[in-house]
Amino acid sequence: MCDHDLDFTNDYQRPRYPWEKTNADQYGSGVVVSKITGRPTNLFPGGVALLWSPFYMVTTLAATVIGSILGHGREFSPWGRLFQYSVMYSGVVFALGAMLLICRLLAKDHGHRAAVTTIVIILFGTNLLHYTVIEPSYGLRTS
Amino acid sequence: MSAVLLSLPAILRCPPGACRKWSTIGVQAAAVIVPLLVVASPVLFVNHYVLGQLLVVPQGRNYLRPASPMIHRVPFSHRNGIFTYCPILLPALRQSLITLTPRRWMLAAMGMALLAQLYVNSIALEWWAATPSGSVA
Repeated sequence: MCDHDLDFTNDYQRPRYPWEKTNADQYGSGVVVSKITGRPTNLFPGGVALLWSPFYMVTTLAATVIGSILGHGREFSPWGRLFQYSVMYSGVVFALGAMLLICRLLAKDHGHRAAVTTIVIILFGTNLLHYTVIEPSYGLRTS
Repeated sequence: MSAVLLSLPAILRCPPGACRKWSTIGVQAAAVIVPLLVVASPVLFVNHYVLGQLLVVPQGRNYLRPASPMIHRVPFSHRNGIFTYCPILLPALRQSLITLTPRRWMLAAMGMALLAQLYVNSIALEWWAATPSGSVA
C-alpha cells in the first residue's frame, strides 16, 4: 500500500529496526524468484493483510495528521512501531467482534446466560486469548 | 471458507417451501459464489502477479502431500493437536452434532467443510502448523 506495488524486492532489502528480532526477509523468500514472473516469492497469502488494511489506513491518516503537527516523521515509517501496534491491536477488535456475534447468535436460542458462559469458555478454553494477546500477528485469530 | 460461512445466514433465512424453487436455489448459489469470488479475487490477483498462477501454494510444489495425510495426528497429536490442546472442543463437537441433527443438509454441509479442512491441514508438510504454539486449526 505504501510503495504502490506488490513487488517485494525492496521490502525484503529494507534495513532492520533495532527493536526487531529478525530481518524482514526472515524466511529467505527474497532469493526464491518465480520463474514465471521474475519476482521474489512470498510465503504468506494476502488474506490477512486485506483484513489488516482498514486499520493500516486509519493509522496512516492518524500518523499524517499527528506527524504534520508534531513533526515525528521518522517514527511514522510504515515499518515503524505505530503501524505494528495498529496491526496487533486489530486482533483485539476482531476477537471482540467475533465473540459479540457468537454471543448474539447463541442468545437467540439458548438465552443470554448460556451465551455468555460459552463465550467465556471459548476465550479461556481455546487458544483465542493467546493469539489475541501474546502472538497477535499470526493470522489464526482473524480466521 | 470464510466467505461461504458469511453467506450462511442468507441461506438459513430461506423459508423451507421456497427453497424448492429453482430460482431460489439460484439465489442461494449466488449468495455463496459471489461473496467467495469477491473475497478470493484479491488473493488470486496477488498470486498471479507474484507467483504467475492463480491457484498456487506459495511454499512450493512439495508443501502439500495429498497421498500422505496425517488425519489422526491433526486432532490428537501431542504436538499442537486440536483436541489435545483444546479438549473443550470435544464436548463442543458432540453438542454441535446433536444441535444440527434435525437440520440434515446443514449438518452435511458443515461436516463436509470440516472434513475438507481437516484433510488440507493433514496433508501439509508441517501438519502441526510449524511455530505457532496452539492447536493447528
